Amino acid sequence: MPSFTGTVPNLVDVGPLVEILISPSRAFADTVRASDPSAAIAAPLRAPAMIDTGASGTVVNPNVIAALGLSPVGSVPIHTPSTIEPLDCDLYHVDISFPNGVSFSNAVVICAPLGMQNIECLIGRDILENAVLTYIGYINQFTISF
Amino acid sequence: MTANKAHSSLAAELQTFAMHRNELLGRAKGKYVLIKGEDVVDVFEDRTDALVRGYREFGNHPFLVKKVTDVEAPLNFTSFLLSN
Repeated sequence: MPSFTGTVPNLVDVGPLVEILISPSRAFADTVRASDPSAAIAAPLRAPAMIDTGASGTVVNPNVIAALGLSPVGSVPIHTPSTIEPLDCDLYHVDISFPNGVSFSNAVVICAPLGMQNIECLIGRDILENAVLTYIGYINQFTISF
Repeated sequence: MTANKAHSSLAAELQTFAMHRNELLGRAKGKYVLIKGEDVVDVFEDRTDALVRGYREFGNHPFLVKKVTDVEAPLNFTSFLLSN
C-alpha cells in the first residue's frame, strides 16, 4: 500500500500539512490532445495542502485552478460554518500527487477561496475515503496510505 | 472564515438540469448527466466517462456533469479554513 509520512513542528498549531502536485486530469489531457495535438496543457503545480477530516470534499483555491487553465465541469452546493443557505460552487477535474509517488487520479474538486494564507488545498473525505490516515499527535507525525 | 461569495458559473446548465430533473429521474436515476447550455447531451453510468465525453464534445470549455438524484445534500465543511 503506497504511503507517505509527514512530520511538522507542531501538529496542533499547523495541522497535517503536505506539499502536493496538482495537475489537469490525465483523462482531460489525453482527450484534448487527441483532438488537438498542439493543445497547451498546464504542467503540474506545487501547492501546500492540509488534510482536513472536517471537509466533505477536496477544495482548491481559485488561483491554482486559474493557473491550471481549467474550465468547470460541475457544480455542487456546500455548507460552511458561515453560510445560511447552501452555496453553489464550481467543480474541476484534476489529478493529485502526494509525496513518495502516492497519487490520486480523477479527483473532482471544489473551487473556493481558502481564507488562510499558505494553504492552497484542503484534502477532504472524498479522497480520504480511499485512504488510511494515521495521526500520531504526540510526535507531530501523520501517515496517509492508499 | 471570511465572507467572499462564490457562485457557480454553470447557471445555465444548472437551470437546464432543474428543468429536466423529473424526466431524468424517471430514466436515469443514479447516473451522471452531461449538460451543455440548454442541451442534455447524454447520460452515463460512470462520472469519468461523462467527463471524457464532455472533453471530446466541448474541449476545455465549461459543461456540467451531475449525478441524477432526488435530493442533493450539500457538502459540509466544519472548519473555518474555507471562505465563502
